[in-house]
Amino acid sequence: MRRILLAATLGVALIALPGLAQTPPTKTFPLPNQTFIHDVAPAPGGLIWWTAQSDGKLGILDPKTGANKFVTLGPDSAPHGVIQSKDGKAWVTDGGQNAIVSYDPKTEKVTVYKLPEETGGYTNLNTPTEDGDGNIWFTGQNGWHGKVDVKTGKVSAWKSPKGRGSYGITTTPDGNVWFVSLANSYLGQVDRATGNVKVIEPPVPNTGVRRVWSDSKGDLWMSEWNGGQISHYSPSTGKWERIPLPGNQRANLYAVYVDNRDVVWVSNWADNKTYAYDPKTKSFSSVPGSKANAAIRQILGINGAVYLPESGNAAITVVNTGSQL
Amino acid sequence: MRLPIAVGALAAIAAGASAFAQGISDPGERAFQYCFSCHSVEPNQTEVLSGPNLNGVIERPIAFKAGFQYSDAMKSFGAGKVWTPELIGQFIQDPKGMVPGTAMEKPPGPRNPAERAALLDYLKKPR
Repeated sequence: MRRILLAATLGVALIALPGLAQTPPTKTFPLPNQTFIHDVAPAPGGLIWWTAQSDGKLGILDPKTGANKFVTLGPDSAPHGVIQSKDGKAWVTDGGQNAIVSYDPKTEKVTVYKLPEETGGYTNLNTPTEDGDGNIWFTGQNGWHGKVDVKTGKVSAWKSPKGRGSYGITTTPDGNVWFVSLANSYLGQVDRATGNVKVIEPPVPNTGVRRVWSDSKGDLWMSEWNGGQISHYSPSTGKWERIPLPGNQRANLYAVYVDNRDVVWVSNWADNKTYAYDPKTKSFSSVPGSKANAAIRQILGINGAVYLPESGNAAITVVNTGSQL
Repeated sequence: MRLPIAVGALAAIAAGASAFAQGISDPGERAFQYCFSCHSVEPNQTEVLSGPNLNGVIERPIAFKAGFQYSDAMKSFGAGKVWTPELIGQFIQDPKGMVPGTAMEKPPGPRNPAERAALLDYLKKPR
Protein backbone atom coordinates (compact mmCIF):
# COMPACT_ATOMS: atom_id res chain seq x y z
CA MET A 1 0.00 0.00 0.00
CA ARG A 2 2.75 2.44 0.95
CA ARG A 3 4.55 1.64 -2.29
CA ILE A 4 1.43 2.52 -4.22
CA LEU A 5 1.11 5.76 -2.30
CA LEU A 6 4.69 6.70 -3.11
CA ALA A 7 4.14 5.98 -6.77
CA ALA A 8 1.06 8.16 -6.75
CA THR A 9 2.99 10.88 -5.00
CA LEU A 10 5.75 10.87 -7.58
CA GLY A 11 3.37 10.48 -10.48
CA VAL A 12 5.53 7.80 -12.02
CA ALA A 13 5.24 4.11 -12.66
CA LEU A 14 6.56 2.01 -9.80
CA ILE A 15 8.92 -0.47 -11.38
CA ALA A 16 10.46 -3.27 -9.38
CA LEU A 17 14.05 -2.98 -10.49
CA PRO A 18 15.87 -6.28 -10.62
CA GLY A 19 19.20 -4.55 -10.21
CA LEU A 20 20.83 -1.27 -10.97
CA ALA A 21 21.28 -1.74 -14.69
CA GLN A 22 18.16 0.25 -15.51
CA THR A 23 17.73 3.95 -15.07
CA PRO A 24 15.19 4.35 -12.27
CA PRO A 25 12.10 6.52 -12.80
CA THR A 26 12.33 10.15 -11.75
CA LYS A 27 10.17 13.21 -11.35
CA THR A 28 11.50 16.78 -11.31
CA PHE A 29 9.90 19.55 -9.27
CA PRO A 30 10.73 23.10 -10.43
CA LEU A 31 11.38 25.63 -7.68
CA PRO A 32 11.07 29.42 -7.70
CA ASN A 33 13.97 31.02 -9.56
CA GLN A 34 16.80 32.83 -7.78
CA THR A 35 16.34 30.92 -4.54
CA PHE A 36 19.49 28.86 -5.14
CA ILE A 37 18.66 25.52 -3.61
CA HIS A 38 21.65 23.94 -1.89
CA ASP A 39 20.66 20.93 0.23
CA VAL A 40 17.54 18.82 0.85
CA ALA A 41 16.21 16.59 3.61
CA PRO A 42 13.11 14.47 4.14
CA ALA A 43 10.55 16.23 6.32
CA PRO A 44 7.65 14.76 8.32
CA GLY A 45 4.47 14.00 6.41
CA GLY A 46 6.18 13.18 3.13
CA LEU A 47 7.36 16.76 2.63
CA ILE A 48 10.85 17.79 1.54
CA TRP A 49 12.87 20.51 3.24
CA TRP A 50 15.35 22.47 1.15
CA THR A 51 17.66 25.36 1.79
CA ALA A 52 16.97 28.50 -0.28
CA GLN A 53 20.43 29.96 0.12
CA SER A 54 19.94 33.23 -1.73
CA ASP A 55 16.65 33.98 0.02
CA GLY A 56 17.70 33.04 3.55
CA LYS A 57 14.79 30.65 3.91
CA LEU A 58 13.92 27.04 4.48
CA GLY A 59 11.80 25.76 1.62
CA ILE A 60 9.13 23.11 2.18
CA LEU A 61 8.11 21.20 -0.94
CA ASP A 62 4.95 19.14 -1.01
CA PRO A 63 5.62 16.48 -3.68
CA LYS A 64 1.91 15.73 -3.91
CA THR A 65 1.14 19.19 -5.28
CA GLY A 66 4.54 20.63 -6.23
CA ALA A 67 3.77 23.66 -4.06
CA ASN A 68 6.33 25.30 -1.80
CA LYS A 69 6.12 27.14 1.50
CA PHE A 70 8.94 29.11 3.06
CA VAL A 71 10.21 29.67 6.58
CA THR A 72 12.23 32.83 7.24
CA LEU A 73 15.36 31.92 9.19
CA GLY A 74 16.62 35.35 10.26
CA PRO A 75 18.42 38.51 9.11
CA ASP A 76 21.42 37.88 6.82
CA SER A 77 20.51 34.20 6.62
CA ALA A 78 22.23 32.10 3.95
CA PRO A 79 21.40 28.47 4.71
CA HIS A 80 23.56 25.65 3.34
CA GLY A 81 22.80 22.24 4.87
CA VAL A 82 19.63 20.76 6.37
CA ILE A 83 18.78 17.51 8.13
CA GLN A 84 15.82 16.12 10.05
CA SER A 85 16.52 15.05 13.63
CA LYS A 86 14.85 12.04 15.17
CA ASP A 87 12.33 14.28 16.94
CA GLY A 88 11.17 15.70 13.58
CA LYS A 89 12.88 19.10 13.63
CA ALA A 90 14.89 20.66 10.83
CA TRP A 91 18.47 21.64 11.64
CA VAL A 92 20.11 24.09 9.29
CA THR A 93 23.71 25.23 8.95
CA ASP A 94 23.32 28.94 8.25
CA GLY A 95 26.53 30.55 7.04
CA GLY A 96 25.00 34.01 6.78
CA GLN A 97 24.03 34.07 10.44
CA ASN A 98 27.08 32.00 11.48
CA ALA A 99 24.55 29.93 13.38
CA ILE A 100 22.80 26.62 13.56
CA VAL A 101 19.07 27.15 13.15
CA SER A 102 16.32 24.73 14.13
CA TYR A 103 12.75 24.71 12.90
CA ASP A 104 10.01 22.77 14.66
CA PRO A 105 7.19 22.04 12.20
CA LYS A 106 4.79 21.29 15.07
CA THR A 107 5.07 24.76 16.60
CA GLU A 108 6.63 26.57 13.59
CA LYS A 109 9.20 27.95 16.04
CA VAL A 110 12.60 28.98 14.66
CA THR A 111 15.53 28.93 17.10
CA VAL A 112 18.94 30.42 16.28
CA TYR A 113 22.06 29.01 17.95
CA LYS A 114 24.88 31.46 17.24
CA LEU A 115 28.44 30.21 17.09
CA PRO A 116 30.88 31.65 19.62
CA GLU A 117 32.31 35.04 18.65
CA GLU A 118 35.85 33.67 18.72
CA THR A 119 35.09 31.82 15.50
CA GLY A 120 35.70 35.15 13.79
CA GLY A 121 32.16 35.95 12.74
CA TYR A 122 32.08 33.76 9.65
CA THR A 123 32.99 30.07 9.50
CA ASN A 124 31.23 29.22 6.22
CA LEU A 125 28.98 26.68 7.90
CA ASN A 126 28.53 23.61 5.78
CA THR A 127 26.66 20.51 6.92
CA PRO A 128 24.95 19.21 10.08
CA THR A 129 24.51 15.69 11.47
CA GLU A 130 22.77 14.28 14.56
CA ASP A 131 24.84 12.06 16.83
CA GLY A 132 23.68 9.10 18.89
CA ASP A 133 22.78 11.35 21.83
CA GLY A 134 20.61 13.66 19.74
CA ASN A 135 23.16 16.48 19.67
CA ILE A 136 23.83 18.32 16.40
CA TRP A 137 27.36 18.39 15.01
CA PHE A 138 28.44 20.61 12.17
CA THR A 139 31.31 21.65 9.94
CA GLY A 140 32.47 25.12 8.90
CA GLN A 141 34.45 25.18 5.68
CA ASN A 142 36.86 27.81 6.99
CA GLY A 143 38.24 25.04 9.17
CA TRP A 144 35.82 24.45 12.03
CA HIS A 145 33.74 21.69 13.50
CA GLY A 146 31.39 21.94 16.43
CA LYS A 147 28.36 20.84 18.36
CA VAL A 148 25.01 22.12 19.57
CA ASP A 149 24.06 20.54 22.88
CA VAL A 150 20.32 20.29 22.30
CA LYS A 151 19.50 20.10 26.02
CA THR A 152 21.38 23.24 27.06
CA GLY A 153 21.58 25.09 23.74
CA LYS A 154 25.32 25.55 24.23
CA VAL A 155 27.31 25.78 20.99
CA SER A 156 30.92 24.59 21.03
CA ALA A 157 33.34 25.08 18.14
CA TRP A 158 36.81 23.73 17.56
CA LYS A 159 39.44 24.44 14.94
CA SER A 160 39.71 21.44 12.65
CA PRO A 161 43.09 19.86 11.96
CA LYS A 162 45.17 21.44 9.18
CA GLY A 163 42.93 24.49 8.80
CA ARG A 164 40.32 25.14 6.14
CA GLY A 165 38.29 22.51 4.33
CA SER A 166 35.90 20.89 6.86
CA TYR A 167 32.99 19.85 4.68
CA GLY A 168 30.74 16.75 4.67
CA ILE A 169 29.82 15.15 8.00
CA THR A 170 27.98 11.97 8.92
CA THR A 171 26.96 9.75 11.82
CA THR A 172 27.67 6.03 11.88
CA PRO A 173 25.13 3.53 13.30
CA ASP A 174 27.02 3.50 16.62
CA GLY A 175 26.21 7.20 17.02
CA ASN A 176 29.70 8.53 16.33
CA VAL A 177 30.59 11.43 14.05
CA TRP A 178 33.01 11.64 11.14
CA PHE A 179 33.77 14.46 8.71
CA VAL A 180 35.98 15.08 5.70
CA SER A 181 38.22 17.97 4.70
CA LEU A 182 37.92 19.06 1.09
CA ALA A 183 40.95 21.34 1.06
CA ASN A 184 43.19 19.02 3.04
CA SER A 185 41.83 15.66 1.90
CA TYR A 186 41.43 13.69 5.09
CA LEU A 187 38.80 11.77 7.01
CA GLY A 188 38.34 12.95 10.58
CA GLN A 189 37.00 10.85 13.44
CA VAL A 190 35.49 13.07 16.12
CA ASP A 191 35.84 12.33 19.82
CA ARG A 192 32.36 13.41 20.90
CA ALA A 193 33.46 13.93 24.52
CA THR A 194 36.26 16.39 23.75
CA GLY A 195 35.83 17.59 20.17
CA ASN A 196 39.29 16.26 19.35
CA VAL A 197 39.76 14.82 15.88
CA LYS A 198 41.75 11.80 14.77
CA VAL A 199 43.02 12.42 11.25
CA ILE A 200 42.90 9.44 8.92
CA GLU A 201 44.82 10.01 5.71
CA PRO A 202 43.50 8.40 2.51
CA PRO A 203 46.07 6.33 0.62
CA VAL A 204 46.17 8.83 -2.26
CA PRO A 205 46.80 12.48 -1.33
CA ASN A 206 44.88 15.52 -2.57
CA THR A 207 41.83 13.68 -3.83
CA GLY A 208 39.63 16.40 -2.33
CA VAL A 209 37.21 14.27 -0.32
CA ARG A 210 34.15 16.50 -0.28
CA ARG A 211 31.29 14.68 1.38
CA VAL A 212 30.99 11.49 3.44
CA TRP A 213 28.17 9.11 4.30
CA SER A 214 27.91 5.98 6.43
CA ASP A 215 26.36 2.72 5.30
CA SER A 216 24.39 0.42 7.59
CA LYS A 217 27.55 -1.31 8.80
CA GLY A 218 29.41 1.88 9.67
CA ASP A 219 31.66 1.86 6.62
CA LEU A 220 32.31 5.33 5.23
CA TRP A 221 31.85 6.39 1.61
CA MET A 222 33.35 9.59 0.24
CA SER A 223 33.08 11.62 -2.96
CA GLU A 224 36.41 12.77 -4.43
CA TRP A 225 36.13 16.20 -6.04
CA ASN A 226 39.68 16.21 -7.41
CA GLY A 227 40.35 12.47 -7.69
CA GLY A 228 37.02 11.72 -9.34
CA GLN A 229 36.55 8.35 -7.65
CA ILE A 230 34.45 6.97 -4.80
CA SER A 231 36.50 6.41 -1.66
CA HIS A 232 35.49 3.68 0.80
CA TYR A 233 36.98 3.30 4.28
CA SER A 234 36.17 0.54 6.71
CA PRO A 235 36.84 1.59 10.35
CA SER A 236 36.66 -2.03 11.47
CA THR A 237 39.55 -3.12 9.25
CA GLY A 238 41.31 0.18 8.50
CA LYS A 239 41.23 -0.66 4.80
CA TRP A 240 40.64 1.81 1.97
CA GLU A 241 39.20 1.16 -1.46
CA ARG A 242 38.79 3.48 -4.46
CA ILE A 243 36.12 2.89 -7.09
CA PRO A 244 36.30 4.69 -10.45
CA LEU A 245 33.18 5.53 -12.41
CA PRO A 246 32.40 3.34 -15.41
CA GLY A 247 34.96 3.83 -18.17
CA ASN A 248 37.44 5.57 -15.86
CA GLN A 249 36.09 8.86 -17.17
CA ARG A 250 37.16 12.27 -15.86
CA ALA A 251 34.99 13.11 -12.91
CA ASN A 252 34.41 15.69 -10.22
CA LEU A 253 32.31 14.00 -7.56
CA TYR A 254 30.50 16.44 -5.29
CA ALA A 255 27.79 14.71 -3.24
CA VAL A 256 27.58 11.21 -1.77
CA TYR A 257 24.70 9.42 -0.04
CA VAL A 258 24.14 5.80 0.94
CA ASP A 259 20.51 4.71 0.69
CA ASN A 260 18.60 2.18 2.79
CA ARG A 261 19.82 -0.67 0.55
CA ASP A 262 23.45 0.39 1.04
CA VAL A 263 23.58 1.61 -2.55
CA VAL A 264 26.05 4.50 -2.89
CA TRP A 265 24.92 7.60 -4.82
CA VAL A 266 27.39 10.21 -6.12
CA SER A 267 26.85 13.30 -8.27
CA ASN A 268 29.38 13.93 -11.02
CA TRP A 269 29.62 17.51 -12.22
CA ALA A 270 31.84 16.60 -15.16
CA ASP A 271 29.11 14.73 -17.06
CA ASN A 272 25.99 16.08 -15.30
CA LYS A 273 24.94 12.64 -14.02
CA THR A 274 24.26 11.05 -10.67
CA TYR A 275 25.57 7.52 -10.32
CA ALA A 276 24.27 4.71 -8.11
CA TYR A 277 26.87 2.09 -7.18
CA ASP A 278 25.84 -1.23 -5.67
CA PRO A 279 28.82 -2.65 -3.72
CA LYS A 280 27.21 -6.08 -3.65
CA THR A 281 27.21 -6.46 -7.42
CA LYS A 282 29.83 -3.79 -8.20
CA SER A 283 27.45 -2.39 -10.80
CA PHE A 284 26.47 1.17 -11.69
CA SER A 285 23.37 2.88 -12.97
CA SER A 286 22.98 6.60 -13.60
CA VAL A 287 20.42 9.40 -13.63
CA PRO A 288 21.04 12.42 -15.88
CA GLY A 289 20.43 15.96 -14.69
CA SER A 290 16.99 17.22 -15.68
CA LYS A 291 18.79 19.93 -17.72
CA ALA A 292 22.40 20.87 -18.41
CA ASN A 293 24.57 21.89 -15.45
CA ALA A 294 22.33 20.48 -12.73
CA ALA A 295 25.13 21.10 -10.19
CA ILE A 296 23.91 18.68 -7.53
CA ARG A 297 25.69 19.58 -4.30
CA GLN A 298 24.10 17.14 -1.88
CA ILE A 299 21.93 14.02 -1.87
CA LEU A 300 19.54 12.62 0.72
CA GLY A 301 16.47 10.44 0.72
CA ILE A 302 14.07 8.08 2.40
CA ASN A 303 13.30 4.43 1.91
CA GLY A 304 12.20 4.16 -1.69
CA ALA A 305 13.23 7.60 -2.90
CA VAL A 306 16.40 9.61 -3.38
CA TYR A 307 16.32 13.42 -3.53
CA LEU A 308 18.62 15.29 -5.92
CA PRO A 309 18.72 19.06 -5.40
CA GLU A 310 19.70 20.66 -8.72
CA SER A 311 21.26 23.97 -7.70
CA GLY A 312 21.98 24.88 -11.32
CA ASN A 313 18.41 24.25 -12.46
CA ALA A 314 16.35 25.47 -9.48
CA ALA A 315 14.74 22.06 -9.12
CA ILE A 316 14.51 18.91 -7.03
CA THR A 317 14.56 15.59 -8.86
CA VAL A 318 13.13 12.66 -6.93
CA VAL A 319 14.37 9.22 -7.93
CA ASN A 320 12.05 6.33 -7.23
CA THR A 321 14.42 3.56 -6.22
CA GLY A 322 11.65 0.98 -6.04
CA SER A 323 12.90 -0.51 -2.80
CA GLN A 324 10.64 -1.89 -0.12
CA LEU A 325 9.03 0.79 2.01
CA MET B 1 46.03 34.27 8.29
CA ARG B 2 45.85 30.56 8.90
CA LEU B 3 46.69 29.25 12.31
CA PRO B 4 48.71 26.12 11.76
CA ILE B 5 48.22 22.94 13.71
CA ALA B 6 50.92 20.31 13.62
CA VAL B 7 49.43 17.05 12.48
CA GLY B 8 51.22 13.76 12.03
CA ALA B 9 51.27 12.01 8.70
CA LEU B 10 48.97 9.13 9.44
CA ALA B 11 46.90 9.65 12.52
CA ALA B 12 47.16 12.51 14.90
CA ILE B 13 45.04 14.14 17.52
CA ALA B 14 44.31 17.83 17.13
CA ALA B 15 43.54 19.64 20.33
CA GLY B 16 40.00 20.92 20.19
CA ALA B 17 39.72 24.12 22.10
CA SER B 18 37.66 27.12 21.15
CA ALA B 19 40.28 29.24 22.88
CA PHE B 20 42.51 28.40 19.93
CA ALA B 21 40.61 30.84 17.76
CA GLN B 22 41.64 34.45 17.75
CA GLY B 23 39.57 37.42 16.71
CA ILE B 24 40.45 38.94 13.34
CA SER B 25 40.93 42.70 13.68
CA ASP B 26 42.00 43.60 10.11
CA PRO B 27 38.73 44.44 8.31
CA GLY B 28 40.15 43.23 5.01
CA GLU B 29 41.19 39.87 6.42
CA ARG B 30 37.83 39.63 8.17
CA ALA B 31 36.04 40.28 4.87
CA PHE B 32 38.26 37.70 3.19
CA GLN B 33 36.79 35.07 5.50
CA TYR B 34 33.86 34.95 3.05
CA CYS B 35 36.36 33.77 0.42
CA PHE B 36 38.78 31.85 2.65
CA SER B 37 37.38 28.35 2.34
CA CYS B 38 37.83 28.26 -1.44
CA HIS B 39 40.61 30.78 -2.14
CA SER B 40 44.10 31.51 -0.87
CA VAL B 41 46.15 34.67 -1.17
CA GLU B 42 49.35 32.93 -0.16
CA PRO B 43 51.86 32.73 -3.03
CA ASN B 44 53.02 29.33 -1.82
CA GLN B 45 49.60 27.74 -1.45
CA THR B 46 49.85 24.02 -0.78
CA GLU B 47 46.19 23.07 -0.40
CA VAL B 48 44.03 21.99 -3.31
CA LEU B 49 41.16 24.46 -3.11
CA SER B 50 37.92 24.76 -5.05
CA GLY B 51 38.75 28.28 -6.27
CA PRO B 52 41.83 29.79 -7.90
CA ASN B 53 44.60 31.47 -5.92
CA LEU B 54 43.87 35.19 -5.55
CA ASN B 55 47.41 36.39 -4.96
CA GLY B 56 47.88 39.24 -7.44
CA VAL B 57 44.36 38.88 -8.81
CA ILE B 58 43.83 42.63 -9.26
CA GLU B 59 44.39 43.51 -12.94
CA ARG B 60 45.16 39.86 -13.72
CA PRO B 61 43.59 38.39 -16.88
CA ILE B 62 40.39 36.55 -16.01
CA ALA B 63 40.49 32.74 -15.97
CA PHE B 64 44.21 32.84 -16.50
CA LYS B 65 45.76 31.39 -13.32
CA ALA B 66 48.04 28.56 -14.36
CA GLY B 67 47.09 25.16 -13.03
CA PHE B 68 43.47 25.97 -12.21
CA GLN B 69 40.62 24.32 -14.08
CA TYR B 70 38.17 27.13 -14.83
CA SER B 71 34.62 26.51 -15.97
CA ASP B 72 33.86 27.00 -19.63
CA ALA B 73 31.53 29.81 -18.59
CA MET B 74 34.33 31.71 -16.84
CA LYS B 75 36.77 31.16 -19.70
CA SER B 76 34.22 32.47 -22.16
CA PHE B 77 33.32 35.47 -20.01
CA GLY B 78 36.95 36.36 -19.32
CA ALA B 79 38.28 36.36 -22.86
CA GLY B 80 40.25 39.60 -23.27
CA LYS B 81 39.28 40.98 -19.83
CA VAL B 82 41.17 41.59 -16.61
CA TRP B 83 39.93 41.57 -13.01
CA THR B 84 39.53 45.25 -12.25
CA PRO B 85 38.49 46.15 -8.69
CA GLU B 86 35.13 47.26 -10.06
CA LEU B 87 34.56 43.96 -11.83
CA ILE B 88 35.52 41.94 -8.76
CA GLY B 89 33.18 44.05 -6.65
CA GLN B 90 30.31 43.32 -9.02
CA PHE B 91 31.15 39.63 -9.39
CA ILE B 92 31.16 38.79 -5.68
CA GLN B 93 27.72 40.35 -5.30
CA ASP B 94 26.17 38.15 -7.97
CA PRO B 95 28.52 35.55 -9.47
CA LYS B 96 25.89 33.63 -11.40
CA GLY B 97 24.20 36.81 -12.60
CA MET B 98 27.45 38.04 -14.11
CA VAL B 99 28.78 34.66 -15.27
CA PRO B 100 25.93 32.17 -15.74
CA GLY B 101 27.37 28.70 -15.34
CA THR B 102 30.19 29.62 -12.99
CA ALA B 103 30.79 27.13 -10.21
CA MET B 104 31.12 29.89 -7.63
CA GLU B 105 28.33 30.25 -5.13
CA LYS B 106 27.23 33.68 -4.00
CA PRO B 107 28.92 34.30 -0.67
CA PRO B 108 26.81 35.92 2.07
CA GLY B 109 29.32 38.74 2.21
CA PRO B 110 30.98 41.22 2.00
CA ARG B 111 27.67 42.83 2.81
CA ASN B 112 28.23 46.52 2.15
CA PRO B 113 30.51 48.90 0.21
CA ALA B 114 32.85 49.36 3.18
CA GLU B 115 33.41 45.62 3.52
CA ARG B 116 33.92 45.24 -0.23
CA ALA B 117 36.45 48.08 -0.22
CA ALA B 118 38.29 46.45 2.68
CA LEU B 119 38.37 43.16 0.79
CA LEU B 120 39.74 44.79 -2.36
CA ASP B 121 42.44 46.55 -0.31
CA TYR B 122 43.32 43.18 1.21
CA LEU B 123 43.60 41.58 -2.23
CA LYS B 124 45.84 44.42 -3.46
CA LYS B 125 48.45 43.87 -0.74
CA PRO B 126 51.70 42.41 -2.04
CA ARG B 127 52.67 39.09 -0.46
